[in-house]
Formats: sequence, C-alpha cells, structure tokens
Amino acid sequence: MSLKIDYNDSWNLIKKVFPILDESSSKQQEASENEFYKTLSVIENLNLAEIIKTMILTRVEREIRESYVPKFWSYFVKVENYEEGFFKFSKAINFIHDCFMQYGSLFLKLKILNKKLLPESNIYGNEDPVDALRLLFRATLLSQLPIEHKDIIENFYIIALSEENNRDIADFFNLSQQSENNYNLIFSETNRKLNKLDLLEPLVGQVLTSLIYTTIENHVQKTCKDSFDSSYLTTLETWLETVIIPWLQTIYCSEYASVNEEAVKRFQRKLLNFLYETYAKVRINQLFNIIIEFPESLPALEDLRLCLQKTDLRSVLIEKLQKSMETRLLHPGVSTPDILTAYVASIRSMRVLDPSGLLLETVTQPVHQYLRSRDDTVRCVVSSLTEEDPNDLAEELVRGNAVHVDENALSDEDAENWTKWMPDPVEADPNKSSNIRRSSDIISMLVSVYGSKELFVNEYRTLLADRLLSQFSCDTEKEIRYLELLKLRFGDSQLHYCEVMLKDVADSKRIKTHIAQIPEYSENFNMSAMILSAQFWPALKDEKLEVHPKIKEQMALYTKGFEALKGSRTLAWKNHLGVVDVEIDLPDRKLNLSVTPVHVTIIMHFEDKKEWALDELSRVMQVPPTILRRKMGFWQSYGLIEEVKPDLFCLIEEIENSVSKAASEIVEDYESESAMASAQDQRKEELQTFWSYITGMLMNLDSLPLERIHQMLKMFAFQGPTIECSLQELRHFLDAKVREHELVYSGGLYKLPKSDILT
Amino acid sequence: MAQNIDPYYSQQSDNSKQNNEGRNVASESHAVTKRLHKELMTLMISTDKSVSAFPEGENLFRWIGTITGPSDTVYESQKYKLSLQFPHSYPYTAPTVKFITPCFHPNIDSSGNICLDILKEKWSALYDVRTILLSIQSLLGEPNIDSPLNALAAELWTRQAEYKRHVLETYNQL
Repeated sequence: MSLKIDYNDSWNLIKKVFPILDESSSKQQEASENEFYKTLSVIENLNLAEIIKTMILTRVEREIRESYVPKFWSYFVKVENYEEGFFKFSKAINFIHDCFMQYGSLFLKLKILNKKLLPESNIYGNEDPVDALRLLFRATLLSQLPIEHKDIIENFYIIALSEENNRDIADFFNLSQQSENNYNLIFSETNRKLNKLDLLEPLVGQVLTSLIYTTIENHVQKTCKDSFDSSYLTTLETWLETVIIPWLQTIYCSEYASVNEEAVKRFQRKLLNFLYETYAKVRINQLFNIIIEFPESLPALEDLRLCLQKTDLRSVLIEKLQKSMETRLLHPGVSTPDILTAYVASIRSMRVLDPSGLLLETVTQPVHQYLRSRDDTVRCVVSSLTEEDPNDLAEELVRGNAVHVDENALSDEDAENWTKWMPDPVEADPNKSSNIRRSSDIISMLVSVYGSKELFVNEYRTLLADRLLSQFSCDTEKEIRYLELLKLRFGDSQLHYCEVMLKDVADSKRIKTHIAQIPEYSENFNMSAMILSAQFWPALKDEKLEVHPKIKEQMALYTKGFEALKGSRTLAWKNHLGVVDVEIDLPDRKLNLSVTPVHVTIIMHFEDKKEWALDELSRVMQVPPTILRRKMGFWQSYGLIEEVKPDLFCLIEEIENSVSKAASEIVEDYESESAMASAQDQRKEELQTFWSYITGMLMNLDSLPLERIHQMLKMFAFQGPTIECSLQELRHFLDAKVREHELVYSGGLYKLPKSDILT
Repeated sequence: MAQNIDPYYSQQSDNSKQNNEGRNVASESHAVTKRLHKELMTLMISTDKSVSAFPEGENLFRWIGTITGPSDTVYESQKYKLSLQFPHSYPYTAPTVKFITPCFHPNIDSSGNICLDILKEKWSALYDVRTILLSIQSLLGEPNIDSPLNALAAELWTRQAEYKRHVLETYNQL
C-alpha cells in the first residue's frame, strides 16, 4: 500500500496546498493545516521537494513578470499635475504591496517546506523565502523600468516636501485641513510599504537625493538673493536641521527600516556639506557685487570665509572673480578712479576672506596689470590720496602706520604671536615671505602696482607742482601736512624735492615783501612772482610769449630787485604761466576777470592800438596765429574784440546790438590747462635721446631688426634713471619715424634712408 | 706722459698688492665699460654727423665706426667703415683701428691697417673715439707721404686726377 501511491490524489493534494500550481485556477477551498502536513510527507516520500519548489518559484516569477509589474508600471504615465502624480504613485505602491501580501501564505508554506525538507538549500542566496520574494519583486521591477518613472516619484515627493515646508505656516494659522492630513497619511503609508518591500532605496533613493539637492539649492537661492548685509549661514543650517532632516527621517526610519539612524546621520553630514557648497557657489557668483558693496557686505564675506574652509572652492572663486573683474571692471569703459575704488574694496574684502593674502595676490593680479597699462593711474592714486573730501585712500594715508613699502625685516610681533601662526596655503609661492603678503597695506599695494616708488613720487611731484602753480596762493599748510604723511611712508629722501618746492613757495612770498622794500623798486601794478628752483621742479610746459612792454618793464624791475637781494642769482621768467587779475573799464561797463598772461597781453595790445591783423599781433607776441586766434576767442566771447574782416581784429568798446549775438556764438575756451609739461611731452623728449642712439646704430651697422635695436638700446642707452622703453613703444616710435621718412623699413629690418647715407 | 701709464700695470709690479689682482681686474674692466659708455653717449649727443661709431653687437669692446670723406678732397662724400677694437687696458692703451671699406691712401694698406702716430707711439689717454675718428678723417685729406704703407698711392698723390681715379676704383670695389 505504501508503495502504491495514488499519484493523482497526491497531485490534487499538492495543488490544493499550493494553489498557484493549479493551471485551471478554479476557486478552491483553502487547505487546512492537516492537509498541508500531509502534503509535506507526500512530497518527502516522493522526493519532490526540489521540483515543487522550483515549480512554485517559476510560477510566481512568471506571474510577477507578466501581470503585476507591467500593471505597476502602467501607473507611471505622464500626468497633468503633481497632485495626480502623487496619488498615482501611492496607488501603484498600494497595488504592488497588495500583490506582495497576496503571496504571504504561499511563502509561509514554502518556508516551512524549505526548512523541513531542504535545510541546505536557499533561494537566490536568501534563506528566508520572503526575502527572496522581495528580491524577486525588486529585480523584476527594475528590469522593466520605464523611462519616465522618475517624474511620478518626483511628483510624489515634491508634494510631500512642500506639505512639510508648509506645515509650519499651517500650524501657525491653525489650519488642520482635511486634505493635508490626507496627504500626510498617504505619504507615511506609502513610505511604510516601500520600506516593507525594501524598495525605498532602489526605487526612490536617487530621485529623492536629487530632489533634496534641488530643494537646498532653491532654498539657498531664495534666501540670500542679492542681499549681502546679513549672515545666512546659521539660518540655513537650522533650516536643514529642522525641515529636511526630520522629513528624511520620517521616510527612512519606519518600523521596517533597513536604513538606520546612522545612515541618515551620514547623509545629513553630506547634505550639510552640500549646503555649504551651494551657498559658497551662490556667494562666489555674487562676489563682485559683494566686493563693491564692502563694507556693508561684510556678513556675506564672513559666511563665505566659513564656507571656504569647509569646501574646496578656492580655485573656483579665483577663476570666477577674475573673470567677472575682467568683464565688469577691466575694460576701457570704466574710469580709473572707479577701478581704484573697486580695487581698494577688493583688497579689503579679500583680507576678510583670506588673511594670508594669497587669495588677494592671485585675484588682483589682472587688476595690477591693467592698472599698469593706464596712463592716469598714478595720478588718480595720488590725487585721491590728497583729496580733501574723505575717501578710502585718504583715510588710509591718515591712518598710516608707517609701513615702508619694501620693508623686508621681520617684525618682533611675529615672535610673540607664534601660537597663532598659520602656515601658508599650499598654493603659496614659497619664494615670497608670507610676512610681506600679510603686512602690506593698501597704499603699499597700490604703489607696488608700478613696482617703484620713484614713479609714484614723481607723479606726486607733478601733481603738487600743478596745484601750487594753479592756486597762486601761498597757503601751503595743507600740502605740508600731506607731505609729512607721505614722508612717513616713503621716507625723507624720496620727497626731498617736494619739500624744496614747498619751501620755494614760502620763500617767494618772503622775497616779494623784501623786494617791495627796496627803494628803487616801484610798482605800476601789484605783482608777485613764484620763484622756483628749476632743479627741483618738474619740467614746466614751454611756450613762447612776448608779454606787453608794460609788464615786461615791471618784470625787469622785479628781476633787478631780486638780483640785489640774492647776489649772484637772477630770474628766468616763464611768461606764459601765471594769472592776472584785470579790471577793464569800458564806457558802458566794467569787467573784473582773472585771466592768463596771454589774454592780458592781447587786450593790452588792443588798448594801445584798436586794430590788429592776426599776423602782426602774432609777430609781436611771438605766438603762432592758430593759438592766438583761439585765445582771442575768449575776448570775442566777452564782446570786446570782433573779427571785422578775415584775420583783422578790432576792439569794440561799446556794446552794440550786433555784439550780443556774437557773444552767444563763440564758445568760451578758457580751459584750465596744466602748467606742467604733459607726461606725453616728456616721454617724447626721452625718446628723442634714443633717436640719436638709433641713428648712430643704424649708420654704423646698416640695418637692424626691431629686437636688435631694442636690445642695443637696453645695453647702451638706458643708463639714465627710470628711462625704460618697451618693445611695443619702440615699434610705435620707429614706425612713426618711417612715416616721417626718417627711416626705411624693409624685410623686417630698419635702416636709414639712402639719401642720408650719401650726403 | 704720466697719464699714459696704466695704474693697473704699474700696480702689478708692486708685489705686495698682487693678491688684490682679481679684484683689480674686475674694477678695471668696470671702469673701461663706464668710460666706453660715456664716450658712446658724447658721440651720440654730438651734432657732428660726419663721424659716428656704435658697438658692433653685445660686446662693448668692439665698435664699428663710420667716417665721411672730408669735403674738398678726393674722398668727398664717400663713407668709410672702420672697426675699432678696445683692449681691456683702454684708455691707457690705444684701440686697434682698421678700415673695413677698402681705401686707396698712402698710409692705409690693402688689408685696412692704418699708419697713424696717435694710434701708435703718440697715443694718449686723453684721446677718445671721436678724436680718433676725426684724426683719421683729416688724415684722408692730408696724408703723410714720407712713411707710406701704400707706395703707389704715395707716388700718385702729386697727380691728383689719376689718384682720384684709383680712389674711386678702390671705393667701388665693394
């Protein structure tokens, strides 16, 4: 009997216990426990355990693959709005969860079967068949992953997250809405199911992470857009800790959590770092504006400094800032004072960011270079240093802690602060002492743009001369104050010339009173002379002017007085410089004016003789007609002189009806010219000395390329102080000479024209 | 004659100072460079363009000079190039001066050597590049027939027309 087993009955029994094996799938009654154990023994007897198990698994796999998973993914279609996606996703999860649960009893049986009959075997590496089932679900789901699945998942979590974000507000208004509770309920339920199916991380993890990243990014952007005057770092940290992290915890740490607290903690650290990075990036993009708004933007800079310590964004910062400086600052459209202001602001803000000064050095490198290429930089620096109305540089100068520009000595202070010493960042150039970087102040940095103090001091000298000569007042108190301040910085020897200049001004005043006391000296009109020691003043602009005999007479008297006073010294007058107060008496009106000597000479000549031809007057005054005509325009605008015929001028004493018209026509050209020879003129003169070298060179060596000429000049001609000439400048100069036919350029070689060689 | 004695060489005979030699050479060479620089500057600044000279390359001790033939002579408006080589003991020793451009002249031989007293026994440290070149320039117009290097030229000197033909022939050899 025991051998004769009814196979049919046994198969029916097995089918009843494991209904999945029944192809006909007719509804059958649930098998009892008794029947189950009976089946087990049957299977054992027939040694069918392995086969039955495989059959069941194959069936289950097919079912999952062919009906459940496609149905699950069918939920993931394009939806109109987030809300729809939210519900679709939760439905899908519900569905797959139900499917999963449906296998519950079957797998319980399978588990027992496995344990009893096949203790050695496992299913796909899992001892527990339920785990295997999870694996099965997961694998099948992922194998059929549709492309758009992320959208729906994203929708789901976006809704949930926005609910989370809004909750504070909802609490505040005490609005416990039905729908909101609903959302929360569905949300936590769905997450619980996902966790149970072990699907949370594989299915959702990636989407969730990127969602959180975008949320952080958006939040950071929203929080600190265009506002630099307060610190946001702590606010953002708190936001992350109170909003995002708890939310993550609700997702991950449910009862089935395979991801434990520790992992969330780790994730939190990662998110915090991401927060810093995002924030730093936002600030770096705004850095140029932040710098411009310094010191109002100090909190933002402090934030950025903290972030930089925690992230690796220094190189990004350098690159971005240099780029934005180039596009926004270093182009011809920006005036030099503006560049300087920005430069000073950037020096100060970089100090905040990086006390070692390395960042500053790298970032401001292009600015340095650019400033060097501008002619008026030194002038701007010097003038803003000594301007009256308060500005950054003037303050800096007054604060002046006598730092010498090229001080190399270590200060004692270093030794005392050794505990606070910090090494230089790795990028630092080891050749340069960090001490110099740290200690150099703003003015020294500005001066170092040019590499030499001399140039700076020279420019100051020109500026001072200009100011002293244009004011014509002997009030030098303020200038002396600035000079003293500058001396603290640059040392006495550099500014010796300026000192002499100031003394000259004071002396001039003294000499004038002395001369006035000399009995032979008589005055037709009040005259005072600025007596300058030619050696110490910068070159004055040279123009020819023969002043009116009356003035000349007075000048001669003055000279005589001076000679009597000073023994072997005399005066060389600069006729074209100075200012004259004139009072012009006309029949119908009086004019009180301050004008230049040229103007006065013109009008005095007209006083003698009412009509002058342009040529004639030009000869008498020794001023070129074109310039003279321009200068006469001044009087024409006052209606005193009229051009009656071309090149014939006539004095008009009474205003007639026609004159008022003329007055409006002629534009006044009373330009305030500098008394100093312009830098360009001086440069031309310097280049002229090179020219004699160049001709000498070419006469003896026939023809030379540009580089050779430059090299030879460098070797033999650049001996004087500060005379330098770049290759570029030399090329310009030589090309100008070629245009003037003083040189011939052919085949890359310059030579003297043939005619010159032969004659 | 005292100025013609190089202090460097007079010092050398003094045995007690021999250990300073190295330093002396350096300072000496510096002094020569300085002097040559100065001479170059005066030459460049001078308005007389009939003589000129310039260092040949990076070496300050080798110059190329140019002189224009003096007017009213057969050499008028011809340009002659010369090479000047300065010894390290300059200006206590005369530079070596040679014609590069071939020149038909009683005191100049076919390889350009010049017979001129101030370049030989009558050299003085007071001479400089400019005066040397000016002397050579005047030598062109006033040769010393008594001690010729070029006998043919000396012989022809009295017959100016034929002499001039030779001069031009030589000059145009280039």
